[in-house]
Amino acid sequence: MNEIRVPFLGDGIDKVIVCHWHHKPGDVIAQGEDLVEVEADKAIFNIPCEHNGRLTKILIAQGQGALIGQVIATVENT
Amino acid sequence: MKCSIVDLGLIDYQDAYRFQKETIQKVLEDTNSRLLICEHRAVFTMGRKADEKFLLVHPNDFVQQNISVVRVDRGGEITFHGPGQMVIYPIFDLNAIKDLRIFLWKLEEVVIDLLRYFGIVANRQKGYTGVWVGEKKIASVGIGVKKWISYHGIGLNVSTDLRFFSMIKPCGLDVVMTSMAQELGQVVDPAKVKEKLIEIMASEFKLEIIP
Repeated sequence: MNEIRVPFLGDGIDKVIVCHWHHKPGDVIAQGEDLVEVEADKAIFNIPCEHNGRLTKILIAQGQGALIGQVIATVENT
Repeated sequence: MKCSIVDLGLIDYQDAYRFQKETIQKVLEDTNSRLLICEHRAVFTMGRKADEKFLLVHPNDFVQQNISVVRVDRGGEITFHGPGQMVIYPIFDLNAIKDLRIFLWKLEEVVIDLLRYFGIVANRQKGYTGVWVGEKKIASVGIGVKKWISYHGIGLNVSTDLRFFSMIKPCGLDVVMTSMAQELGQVVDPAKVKEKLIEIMASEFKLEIIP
């Protein structure tokens, strides 16, 4: 099981808002494909999936906050 | 950072958006950044989290005036684009920076320096993005980033018809908008603004301008 975490986005940015999931649990996702958009300050950042796999769990819903480094989803290898 | 300048002229927002997405792919392929400069026909755009309550008139009124409302994948609330506003889309490779806050700060710095050249004292406002002249906002800044390539950017009011902003709550704030023309009390040559903008952008981001 692979964990998808909020990456480092810059000094002083310690949290983001999850804006839009591009996929739902069960979807098969290719490595490098956009998985989720998060917002920090006035920037939307697309977090890509780092693995080929199937999205198993979304842990942070749209509109909710997440800290930098926090696990927001899990992807199992296919 | 190598960068080419692309002047799109007057272009519909949606067409420019498609062009931005195509340009991101080009930057990913050849790593040369692109600076897109254009002007839009009248349109209101809403960021991902933007609240429709900040539209202050009924949507039918927009239809009657031939103004579209588009929801887009950028940060921030609602804003207006239209003739007289210089829109700057830096499709930049940020892999050397990898810091959203620094990038936003630099974009604001470019606008502040540009306005200073034209005799307007502008600043940031703590807690808000964009560029301000006193309590009035003159430029909006909102970006998207995909694989550390930036898109969206800056809307600078050069000689925008500011009455359009009264139809919305810009950026969700009780803010008064202004323009370079209003601050200076005279029309500014957009070609000169564009020329100086490119020069300052090149200096701030250490761009090597290529054809």
